[in-house]
Amino acid sequence: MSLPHTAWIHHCGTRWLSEDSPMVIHVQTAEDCLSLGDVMRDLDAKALIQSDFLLMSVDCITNVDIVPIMKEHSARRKNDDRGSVMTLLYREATPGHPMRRHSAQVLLAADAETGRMVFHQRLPAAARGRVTFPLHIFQEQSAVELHYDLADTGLSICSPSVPQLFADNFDFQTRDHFVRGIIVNEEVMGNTVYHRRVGTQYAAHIDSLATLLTVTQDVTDRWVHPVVPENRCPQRADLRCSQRNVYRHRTAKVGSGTRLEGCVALGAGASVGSNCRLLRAVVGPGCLLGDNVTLEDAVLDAGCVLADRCEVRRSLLGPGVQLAAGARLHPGCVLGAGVRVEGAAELPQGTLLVGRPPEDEFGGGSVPEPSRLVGAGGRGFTFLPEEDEEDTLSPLRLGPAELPTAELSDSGENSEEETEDESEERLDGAESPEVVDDTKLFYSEVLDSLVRGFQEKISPENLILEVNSSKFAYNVTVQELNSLVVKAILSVPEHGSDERLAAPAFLARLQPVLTTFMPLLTNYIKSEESELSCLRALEEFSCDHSAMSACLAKVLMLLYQRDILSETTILSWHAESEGLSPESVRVRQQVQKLVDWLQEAEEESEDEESDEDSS
Amino acid sequence: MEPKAVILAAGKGSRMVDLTCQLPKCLLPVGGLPLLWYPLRLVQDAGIQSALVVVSEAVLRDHKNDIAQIPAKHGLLINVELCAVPGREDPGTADSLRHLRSADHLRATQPLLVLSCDLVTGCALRELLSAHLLRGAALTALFAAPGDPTVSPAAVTAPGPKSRHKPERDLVGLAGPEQRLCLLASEADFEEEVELRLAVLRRHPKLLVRRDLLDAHLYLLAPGLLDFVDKSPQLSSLKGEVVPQVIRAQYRRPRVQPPDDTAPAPAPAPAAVHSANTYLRQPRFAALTARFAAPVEAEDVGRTSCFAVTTHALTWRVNTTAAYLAANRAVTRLWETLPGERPPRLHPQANIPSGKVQLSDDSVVGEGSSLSERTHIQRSVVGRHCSLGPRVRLVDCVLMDHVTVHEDCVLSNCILMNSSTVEAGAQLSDCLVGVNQVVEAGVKKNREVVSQQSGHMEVY
Repeated sequence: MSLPHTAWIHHCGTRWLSEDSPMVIHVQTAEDCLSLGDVMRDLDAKALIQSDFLLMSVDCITNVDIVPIMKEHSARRKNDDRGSVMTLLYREATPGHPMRRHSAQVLLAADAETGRMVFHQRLPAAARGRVTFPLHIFQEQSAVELHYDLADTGLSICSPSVPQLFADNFDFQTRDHFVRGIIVNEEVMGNTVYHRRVGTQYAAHIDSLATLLTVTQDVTDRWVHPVVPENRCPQRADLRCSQRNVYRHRTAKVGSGTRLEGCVALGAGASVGSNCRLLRAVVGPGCLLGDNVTLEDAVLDAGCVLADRCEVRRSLLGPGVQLAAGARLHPGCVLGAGVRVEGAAELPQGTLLVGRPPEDEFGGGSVPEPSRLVGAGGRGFTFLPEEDEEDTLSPLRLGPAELPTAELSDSGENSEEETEDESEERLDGAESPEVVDDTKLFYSEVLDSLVRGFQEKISPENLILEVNSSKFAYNVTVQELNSLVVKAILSVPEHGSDERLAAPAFLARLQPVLTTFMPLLTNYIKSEESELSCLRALEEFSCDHSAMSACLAKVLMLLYQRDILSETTILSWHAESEGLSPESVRVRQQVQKLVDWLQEAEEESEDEESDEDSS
Repeated sequence: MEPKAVILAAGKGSRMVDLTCQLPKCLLPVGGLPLLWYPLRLVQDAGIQSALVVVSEAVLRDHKNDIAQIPAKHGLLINVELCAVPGREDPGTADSLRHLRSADHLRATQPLLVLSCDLVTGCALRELLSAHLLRGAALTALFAAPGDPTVSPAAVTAPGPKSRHKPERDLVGLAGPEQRLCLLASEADFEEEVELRLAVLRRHPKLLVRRDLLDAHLYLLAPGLLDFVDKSPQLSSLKGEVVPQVIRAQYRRPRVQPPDDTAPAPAPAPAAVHSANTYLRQPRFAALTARFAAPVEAEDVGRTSCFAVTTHALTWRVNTTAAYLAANRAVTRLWETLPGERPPRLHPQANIPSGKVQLSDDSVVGEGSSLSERTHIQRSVVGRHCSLGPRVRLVDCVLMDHVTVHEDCVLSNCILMNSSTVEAGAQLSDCLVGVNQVVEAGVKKNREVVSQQSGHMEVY
């Protein structure tokens, strides 16, 4: 748990527990933990866990009776499968379910008899086309069940050996890494993971604004009973639930002519003016709403002040947000604590504002200007989501503006909520100086290996081994590795000479190098993530290398033909437009022709896929 | 409407050449009855009155009467039409259908029940037929769940030299309680990866992929699909090409609105593959059936819908020597499940000296065969007009017709083809004795094929 919040969490824990609860909360503070993996390694070092345990991400809302599931897991570990290390809990949700519409999709395959997972993959929310499964998973058991009907709950039951396994495999950062690693190495390590559905019980994990709003509605709709608003209230009698799931605190005031249309919760001391319209809205304690305010799918934290005629749709307002009369929030806005919007401002879809200027991690830099959106005298700074390289599937990668209903992800919300902690997906983008050195050293080692490998015709398999062992020696992430390998390959043609070759000569030299190292690329560039890192590496290399930039289109074509890069990734890379340097823009223009061609090709193949073909 | 039954028997039986190079596959005796008897009986029990049997030209020339007389000789009422596929030696199953269509043996308006002559099953088809009609299915396929492992071909040693033959397995994708068929592919078609369209998973988010099912190669096709086969000459195999195409069409948007029953199916441009959806006909009372019977979902309108029916009855595809032996061993168990008249286990006209032979319950003795005293027969089939000398021991053997085994022979897991002779005192295990071959007295043979082409066979 990150340091500044420890005391706060302690406070919440004791506040929420009833006096006679036998539960004891231990808050463990782990410094410098950037991921779930780090936390687990820390737990392992402290040897705190001796029994089966429940691993739960902080954003999980559930009423699942965990005890029988724990017992099931323990029994399996004792009787049937000693290597069983984790049971992941999933909730059934068919494609298009609100809980998964904008999140990464889970695709898994499991032995139909036992539920042992044999395959696990995350797909982007709008995935199309095909998926591939390794053939052997079907051959090793008589029946395999493919599940595309599940949503992650963030809950898993772990055996005591899990922290140890994280410690043994220091490249495991997230639970997904862990699951993938266990499945891939099942033969070697003998460990297994199982999945289980929570059935009719409720479990959901919030990873975007959309899921936050959906879960909020599910809570007010009482699907998560006994987790319902009145049970959270210190004096149960204070909060009354009436028809259409309207919850009103005794002290909440509602003006005349105001319609509470359904799924509305009004906290202590909240005051709603007259002729307002509230639908699926949560109004926190002490909020003041003026007259003629419209709230639809809105969540207001404590102490918000909305003047007359405000309209808020599908948005989240942090504590103490103030909106002046006539302000309109289009779907997908998130306003952090203390934001003040002046004048009849209109915030476009997916606006992210924070009340404090974003802190520069390195301390320096200028203080950013307040956003223009908040009007004169307002307070609010545009929030720039971190580039989170591990988490390419997060919808935030697309930028909120590009999303149809403007959804936001983790980092957008975490800035609002104070519970920022070991949330699995977070990998801090900040690089400490040692890390930079590590990558540099790693790069030069890889480059040496490749140059030698090219001259001495060392077999690609051996080179892969060499690169992998370098990876273990230095602290580089998988994506860094992919990107650096690509860059190193590109540097091979000119290695050892200072002069820069002209484009045709460079290409002539590059081609044999690429052909030689094709197995390496095939080995490393496998996922969509890695394809993007590869493209970024090509882009960065081209930016300060005119010869390379001139033949980039040819290189891309080659990689496309060899199935290393897919057309979708090339297109999505090319479509990136935010925060590009002029060089990057120029590089993208260089390959415009290829992209046009790919787009046509893709339209045809889409056509072929969903329609009839005439081949 | 009653489906038209088509029994495909034009294949050469290339996975059991030892047997089929001497006798056409459809006439190989299983439990003393020709193999073709089983699919004919299956079709007859489903209430279908005639079957079209497709054979190769050579078989029609040499064995026309043998095949045509099967019903009369073995107590079937079904009417058999014989038809030969000209030209190629080993025509594809879809090629056979196309030929039948062009030779006007098949009408396009009838559902089509296509099965292979090597299907030996105790499954009752009526359920499959009604499920097909009720669901308004385009294709319904029969699969057999793994049953008693002792009678599966995998548990049987094929006679002759050891081969490293691996049984072929299929990956069968099934969804939902109604067993929607989403995937059918031979495992051998994949190298290291199995590719699946996400469209399939979106439609059927929970998909069971089974490897333990046996594709019985029995398909019930809706009327329009014959046109699809007819107009797609590049598809040569039913199982390998046509069925996967029809399955795939479930996940394709139909381009045109399905024509109503008065308009003819649109004439597709030649040489173009159209999806099977193009050829679907709207059933005459579609609206009515949709209301009362078929749980047709919106996504299925104008698309094919494929279903699987899984049977737990004894089922073999007699397409390998091992499967041939396995079927013979347990065929009496299958007979017991047949409705109506059952073939006799011991033919009334067989000469069995009472009280002096040991005969296990699952053995079969055919018409006119004579056994001598102290013959021991266990799990074996003795065909017609065979003669067994005293003290002969047969374990797990198949004797076809007119076979003579002299005294004191011990045979285990052997196949003795028509008119073969084993002289006194020979001991054979895991051997195959070809038509008219003689095994000399007193020899011991193990894993051998005795036939005219035995030299060739052993190389093979």
